[in-house]
Amino acid sequence: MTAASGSARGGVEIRRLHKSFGGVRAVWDVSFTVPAGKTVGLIGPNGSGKTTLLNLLAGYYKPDAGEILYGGTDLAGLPPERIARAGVVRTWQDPRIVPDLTVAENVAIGALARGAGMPNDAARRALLAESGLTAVADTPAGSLPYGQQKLVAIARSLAASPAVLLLDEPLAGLSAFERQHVVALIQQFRTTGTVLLVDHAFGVIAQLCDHVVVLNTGTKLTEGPPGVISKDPSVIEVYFG
Amino acid sequence: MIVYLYEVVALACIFAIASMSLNLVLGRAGLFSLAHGVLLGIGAYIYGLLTTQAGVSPAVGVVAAVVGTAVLGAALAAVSVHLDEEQFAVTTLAFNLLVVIVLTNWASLTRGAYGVAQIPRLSIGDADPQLMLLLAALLLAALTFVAFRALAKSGFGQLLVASASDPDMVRALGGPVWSLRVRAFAIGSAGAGLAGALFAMQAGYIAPPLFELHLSVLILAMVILGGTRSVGGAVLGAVVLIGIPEALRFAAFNAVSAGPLRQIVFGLLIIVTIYVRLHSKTSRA
Repeated sequence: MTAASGSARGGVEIRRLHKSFGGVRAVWDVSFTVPAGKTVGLIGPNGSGKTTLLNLLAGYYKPDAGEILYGGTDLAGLPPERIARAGVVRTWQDPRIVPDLTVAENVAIGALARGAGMPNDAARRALLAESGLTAVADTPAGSLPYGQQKLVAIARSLAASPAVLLLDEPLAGLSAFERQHVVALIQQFRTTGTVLLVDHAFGVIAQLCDHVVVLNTGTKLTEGPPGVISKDPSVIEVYFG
Repeated sequence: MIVYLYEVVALACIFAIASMSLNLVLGRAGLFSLAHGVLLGIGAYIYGLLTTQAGVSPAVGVVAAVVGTAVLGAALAAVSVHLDEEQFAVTTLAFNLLVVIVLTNWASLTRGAYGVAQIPRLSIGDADPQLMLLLAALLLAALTFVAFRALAKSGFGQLLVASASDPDMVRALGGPVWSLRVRAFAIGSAGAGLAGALFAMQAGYIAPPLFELHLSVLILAMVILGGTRSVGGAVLGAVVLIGIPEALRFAAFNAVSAGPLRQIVFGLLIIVTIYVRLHSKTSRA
């Protein structure tokens, strides 16, 4: 059973999502759709609500109002482990690897955590090879450089065989060489899965995404294909300006 | 002399079982429990009361001690593993105090401060009962070692380590952190219950003061001394902390200074192990 085999299964529809912290409207009345099998980019300046939105989708925060529809159910307010088991899996800006475990053990956590048991040797080797981690498979993950730790984290999320991958700045802090590996992994995944990609680098968003949503001060500024968004004067003003 | 050696080796095996089981709870699941000694006490009381008051055979008594302690441990874990490390430590400490108070005061069930005496040992035919207990303790300690090492290396063990290091990350990947921890604590409690049943056989007599906080601290010191990430280390810690006081029994200059000297060395050992634990924790953070 590959997680992303279904076409209808992978879509996420966000409807009128709200989240405030004290008096601060972190996410205010945001709606958009991540269609099944598509890659949607989420951009915006610092503090525009991108990470809060991701935390709402992954169940780390409970929304004040709104719905997150996925495969006919509302994920809003469900605990993170239920959302992950439903097929929506996130990564963080920080790799959040387990330093004492080896790279192979860290990657295996993705499969173990969702209750799929220890991945078999062939599956494990294939994933490590795709991620360019074969040579360091038995190295404690804590001893790797930051960029490789980030690859470990993405491979770990893929080991959870998600239908939808929520990626929080997967390319931030990486060297050009490491970026290639991460981009290749995302491109490989998007042939069968659905992706919501948060990043600052518009070049990467344009390269990978079918559709772009722009946030500013917690609200949706606009959305559209990357080619249109990059020429939108309001986006240029808040984001590129 | 040979009987004395039997006793010391059996006692080391019993505490090795206790420290290996706490090693899973502390070293893998990251749960700083101050209740392991009283869980051992619960196992000892289940075995002692069933065999002396209810006419249960020693073998059934051991099984009942293992299962009963695991169930009580699971109940304690179910209401406490979501707490942060300090709160969890204080909760388990309170559990330790509470159980000792119950053992002391619920006299109609536990015989209170009088304790439980004439606890029977496992016996086969007319074999030397002390030798039998030694062999049983050695065999069960070896089985416990194999089982807990396999657990530590299993996917369950890896998930426990990951949950201790970053619970939010494990949950975000679908891992049921609460239930993983409750299971780990229940398995650790089963080990404490087994050690308790053997302890009751070895001692022949148990009373509440045996299971006060110092016993939990002693088992904790064994785990920390051996290195929390190693099942073999937990065995080593038990052998050292059971062996040293016995050795000091002979090293003392005279009978009057022997007791206090052992207490002093023992206290210093515990302070050093706790210090090392706290120090290694802060340097890693």
